Amino acid sequence: MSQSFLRKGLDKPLRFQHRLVTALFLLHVCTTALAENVSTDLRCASDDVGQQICLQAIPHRVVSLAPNLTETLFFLGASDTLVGRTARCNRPAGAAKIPQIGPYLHPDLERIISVKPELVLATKPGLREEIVERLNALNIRVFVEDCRSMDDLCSLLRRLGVLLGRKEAAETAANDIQHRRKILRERLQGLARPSVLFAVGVKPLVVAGGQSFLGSLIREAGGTNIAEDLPISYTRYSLEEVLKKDPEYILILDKECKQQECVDHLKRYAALSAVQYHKVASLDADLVARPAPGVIEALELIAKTLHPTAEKMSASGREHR
Amino acid sequence: MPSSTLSKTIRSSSILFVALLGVVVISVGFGARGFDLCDMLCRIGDGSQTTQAWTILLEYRLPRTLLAAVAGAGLACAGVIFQAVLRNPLADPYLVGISGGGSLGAVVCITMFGQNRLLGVSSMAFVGSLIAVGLVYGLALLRKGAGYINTIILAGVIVGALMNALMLLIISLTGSDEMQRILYWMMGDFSFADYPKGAVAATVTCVGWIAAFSQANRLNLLMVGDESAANLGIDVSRMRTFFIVVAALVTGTVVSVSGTIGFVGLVVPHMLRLAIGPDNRVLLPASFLGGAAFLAGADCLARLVAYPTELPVGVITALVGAPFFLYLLLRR
Repeated sequence: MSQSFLRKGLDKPLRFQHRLVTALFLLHVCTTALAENVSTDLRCASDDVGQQICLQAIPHRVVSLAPNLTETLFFLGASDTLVGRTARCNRPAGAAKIPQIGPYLHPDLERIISVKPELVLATKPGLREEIVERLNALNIRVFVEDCRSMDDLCSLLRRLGVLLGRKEAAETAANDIQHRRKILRERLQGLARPSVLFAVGVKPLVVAGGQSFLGSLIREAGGTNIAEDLPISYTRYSLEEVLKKDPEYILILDKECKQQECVDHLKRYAALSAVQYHKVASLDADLVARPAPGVIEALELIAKTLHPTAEKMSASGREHR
Repeated sequence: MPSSTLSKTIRSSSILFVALLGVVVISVGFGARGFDLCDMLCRIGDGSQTTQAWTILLEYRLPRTLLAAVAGAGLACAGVIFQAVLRNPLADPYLVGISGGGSLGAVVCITMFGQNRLLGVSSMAFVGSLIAVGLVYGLALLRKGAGYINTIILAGVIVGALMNALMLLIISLTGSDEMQRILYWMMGDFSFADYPKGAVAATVTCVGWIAAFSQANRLNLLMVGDESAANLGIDVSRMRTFFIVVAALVTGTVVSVSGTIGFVGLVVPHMLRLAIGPDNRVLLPASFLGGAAFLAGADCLARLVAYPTELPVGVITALVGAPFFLYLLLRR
């Protein structure tokens, strides 16, 4: 009797404990399963203005506010998610089919909202902060990039790959860029670095400084930017300083020129060696000034312009080996 | 011209002429590392460096300084004329819609014809200025002289606003590709000065100045009032038309070669009036030289303050001119 009572007395808490443990275990399993579930679905990446962008799932509706981002989306095979682009987004050809949400630098908020984007991609230079604030207030996440070098571009590609569920494509693109940069570095090794002026605009003269993306292209292409020390990315520049430093090459972005007009304009300054020796080159702004995967071709083009003999030399060097 | 006026003219003009010469020498001689005129030219030996120095001086600093001086002279004289004819201390060369018209012309050229030859932008800006002035003056003529001065001033402000609105409309419709260029144009820019441009501007400014100076007596009478001027035997409306056309042509030319540079035409005449009195026979030569010195100096600062970056010259004219003008007002 007493024994059975005892057993009963013992039994009860035991059974209770057992249940508690089971319940806790189940709860634990549930939460971990949930947590795992969440972590597989929540995609996070930090952008270049200190925001952490997290998405519940792969976005199916994306708006791009810059030509380079539109191009990148196409490159990553995510063009089917694009539901809006700016008037300036003209590359690749398929971009024309995507609805416009207004001019570059001045997108139409109403049109952005009306296409119900799950993610908006923007580029920092020229972006009005109000747009980010307004969209954030409407619970639309805005990823803002600020590419200033090829390394930044590779990092951007990888982060966009995570956000857009195109990790592999992004990895491939980034690796391809890194590979071609490496080849370029080897080819340029030991070569003299000619002085270069990169004119973004000619009237008045606006140049790319060392902190700009174009400045980084000059460095990688084996040139010495005469405006390397400028504290601002792009700024007006004194012609006198150009005459003094007398760059060996002058590169001009063709943004504001039709055909050869900018090059012709510079020919007035016959004292410049670049003019004398025909080392003034006009570059396609749509290719060069857009940090997108295609820009690696621009980099190779600039390197070829600055080092016309490098390819032959490295080829003969290889044969020699 | 009475001898006292003549001597006053000679005295003030010679002082300002010396100042102008000084400014030109300083502007041509100053580089990023201080006064390097001698440094650049007296260097013995390396031939290529001396050539380069001459190129910088002759192809860059000198035409630029001269163009700035011519523009300053033109704007200051136009300011004197407008302030006298309209009897309004706030009148400046841009009052009759010239800046709006000129900007519109320049923007039309830049956005529609792309990077055209500079002559393109200049001539379109000139045409734009003339259209604006024509509109304003046509309105004043339509009202047959009734409330002439107020009509000119109001019509000028309104036509200017209209032209500005058209310009902004074109900019917004064509996208922002050229925004930077347009902005720099509107803030004034001498960095692409060359001798042909300077020669055109100098010819128009000098002819305009001679025309106005030869009638300086009549400008004085217009300043007193229409009735008194008419009583003294002046065809008031004809004289006013003459002065406004001269001032508008000079301003339009200056705008077409340099963009719209504010403050010079407003403040230089006032500064000189405070110093030498309101007599236009003295004031016109003084403004010609003083305006030239002022703008050439401002451009020198714009070129050097943030070297190798360049500042818009309009920023300097206002930053330097405004405090100096306030000081003169207080001292008075």
